[in-house]
Amino acid sequence: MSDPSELTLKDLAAAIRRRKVSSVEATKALLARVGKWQGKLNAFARIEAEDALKAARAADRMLAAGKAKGPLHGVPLAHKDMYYVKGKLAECGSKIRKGWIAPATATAVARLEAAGAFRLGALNMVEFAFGPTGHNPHTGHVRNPFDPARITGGSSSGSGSAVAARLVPAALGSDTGGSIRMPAHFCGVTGLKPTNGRVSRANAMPLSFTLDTVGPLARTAEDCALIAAAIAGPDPLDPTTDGAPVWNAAEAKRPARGMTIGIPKSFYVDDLERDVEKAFDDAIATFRKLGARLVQVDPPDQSLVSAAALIVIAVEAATVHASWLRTRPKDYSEQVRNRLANGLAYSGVQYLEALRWRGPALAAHLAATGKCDAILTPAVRTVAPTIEETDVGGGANADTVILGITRFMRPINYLGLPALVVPGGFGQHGMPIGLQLIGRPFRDERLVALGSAFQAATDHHERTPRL
Amino acid sequence: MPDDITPERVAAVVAMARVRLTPEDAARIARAVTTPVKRLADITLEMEVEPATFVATQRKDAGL
Repeated sequence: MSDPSELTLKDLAAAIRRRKVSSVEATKALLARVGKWQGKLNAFARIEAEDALKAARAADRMLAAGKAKGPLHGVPLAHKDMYYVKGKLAECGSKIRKGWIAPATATAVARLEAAGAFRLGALNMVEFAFGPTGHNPHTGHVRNPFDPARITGGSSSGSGSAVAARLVPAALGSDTGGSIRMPAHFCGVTGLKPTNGRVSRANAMPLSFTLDTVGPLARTAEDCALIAAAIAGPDPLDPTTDGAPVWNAAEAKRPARGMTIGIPKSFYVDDLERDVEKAFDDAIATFRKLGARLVQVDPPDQSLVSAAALIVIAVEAATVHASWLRTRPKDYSEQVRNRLANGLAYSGVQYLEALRWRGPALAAHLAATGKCDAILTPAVRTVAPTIEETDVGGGANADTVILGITRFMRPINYLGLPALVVPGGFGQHGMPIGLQLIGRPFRDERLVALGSAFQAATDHHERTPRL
Repeated sequence: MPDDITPERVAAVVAMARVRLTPEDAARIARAVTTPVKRLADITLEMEVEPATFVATQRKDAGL
């Protein structure tokens, strides 16, 4: 049996289920790897070794008795430190919530537990999930396993780093303006931002109640689907999921042949780093070989969509944090405090106009993209910059850095569409490049199908960082 | 609604939220919010459009 930390989520779950490796052996192997690399990567906020081993022993006893909880039985995972587990710390990468004990468990975590998974611990993140780089002055910056001097992307920084370094086979992140997809791009892993309304946000820390989504980072699209299958569907605790379809596993296995992929004429193809452009062109060629039909599309003005997203995020985040902005402003990092304060300055009418336009903007997008199953774009224009060169705090360059990194991300949150980022190559300094597949509402499974086909034809997702 | 967002206007709006700002903060915020506000200023919407129109559009496309 190979080292359990090298297995994908799908293979590890199968190995445990078939008793080729015990849950305790897998847990110990992952904990050993965490122990070896945590000092270098700072991916974990807290490691819960004793609880994890206790859960692993219980999982092994159940299997020995011929029982299994579900498809993730006995699999150790870890999640961004904003998913509440009743009675456990959830510090949200912040000073303000240091020592805070969650009063309830997030639906997504509860569903993963019902499927048989348990936690190795909690993963570091950007303060209150409000930042795209992975910097955090309170908990320390999380490091990129492909080069610890470079950023992981954020805000699910620990999730990206831990999955890339094989410290866990999969992790929950959250995505309000690209926070799953940017770490997937920068760290060379796969990340799925589900359709808004597909996965419950109940008892996960809010940032923007309109745009927040809950989703996985893992090694492969198939692994993301395993997590999505466990967590998607209606939840009475989150009314936005009312009527949401459960995961359709058959749809996620459709062949790429016959599917239609749109290639944008502008915006997503402007000002790309040369290696990113090459990876994008290579991906187009790969999908063509796989039998997908490629068509040019011209989505409506994405910078306008982005501006609307900025207003919604800013106002909702400022609303969520208004009380602490009054009473504890100095307990925020300068960058997060500044960005939250921006949201106080929009008028009620401006905010509601941005919200009202969301339906028409989505309708215009769907009309412009015709019958495409997905739109293929680069995820970010560049490979991971260094931590030092993006350490802009609240300074004059902060908006430029933030808006540059999130450029291809924010429109998708505003439009509420599903998006999958898959590793698509490597660029300068040996750093990963991600490609983004943007889908239609509630057709997340088709993105997984296309991502899986792409990963069957390429090996970018298999490269392990040499720590 | 005027598109020009001045530091004075920012200071007044933020004061209503009972959050304290320095004059430098107000000037920075005015710069940060002006672009998105100007970008959206030209959008005109039918009277009947509301935030929930988004959900209806989303679900219609998905056949839900």
